[in-house]
Amino acid sequence: MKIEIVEGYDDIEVIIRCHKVTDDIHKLEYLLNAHAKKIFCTKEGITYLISINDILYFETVEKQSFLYTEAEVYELPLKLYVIEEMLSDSGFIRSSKSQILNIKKISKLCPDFSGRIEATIEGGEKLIISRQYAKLLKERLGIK
Amino acid sequence: MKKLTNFIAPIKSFAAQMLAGLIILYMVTGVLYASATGADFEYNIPFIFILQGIALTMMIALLRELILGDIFIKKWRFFKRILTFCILLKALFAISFFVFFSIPTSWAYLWLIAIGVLMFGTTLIFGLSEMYYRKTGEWYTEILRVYKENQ
Repeated sequence: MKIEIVEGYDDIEVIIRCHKVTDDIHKLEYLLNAHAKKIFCTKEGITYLISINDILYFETVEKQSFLYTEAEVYELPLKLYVIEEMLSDSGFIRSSKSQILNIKKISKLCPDFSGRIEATIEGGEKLIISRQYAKLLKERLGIK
Repeated sequence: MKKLTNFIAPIKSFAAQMLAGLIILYMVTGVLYASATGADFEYNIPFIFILQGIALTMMIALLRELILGDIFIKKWRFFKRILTFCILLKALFAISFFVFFSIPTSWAYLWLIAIGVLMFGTTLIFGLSEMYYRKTGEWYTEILRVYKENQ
């Protein structure tokens, strides 16, 4: 892969020239968009570009990844571990094997008897952070 | 098929463990009771007792998987789960002892008191725990608020 950087422009523009659009190209596209704090996703065949600040959480159901905002649910063709890698520095945290949660969208936390944490997110929805990932959240927040 | 196996396997495993425990309990308490009272202990377990034990342990294991497992009920708090489980478990015991094992109904009053004491104890312990966790939750939320402000 050849990378060329040309200086002297007002806006950043990235053009990917390739023989064929493969999964690697899609991944590259998503990474570039994530850097720009936006994610490509689809709903009923229409593609949308969603700002990561609007995302509440990601969830995988039956091997399909979904993105949840306060009002809408979108599909995206990425595995959860790829999303996790892309957004780990942007305030997102794995909350269970099938969910990634936007910390900035959590409005309330409440631990549970079984070591899990119940997270109430904006809009009132309650999500469960499993015991394994509750430990990571506590470390991230600096809770001892 | 895989989903069905994943659902049944832990039920079978837990039921088997409980049945083994039940049989050990029966034998140990039987021997101790016989030695304390000077009675003869019959070392053979009645076949019907095994069948009843299998049925009861399977029902408890199923109840545990349905209420305390994450397959069907995903977003209940533990307090709600344990309280529901206790209520249903006590109902299951009551039905089993009176119908299944044919305990004399003259024991009903005693049995109801025992259930009442257990219910009160369970509710008190988990109620206090819930209050503690809510207070801890307020502390976590405050730390979260500070974390978000610093981001």
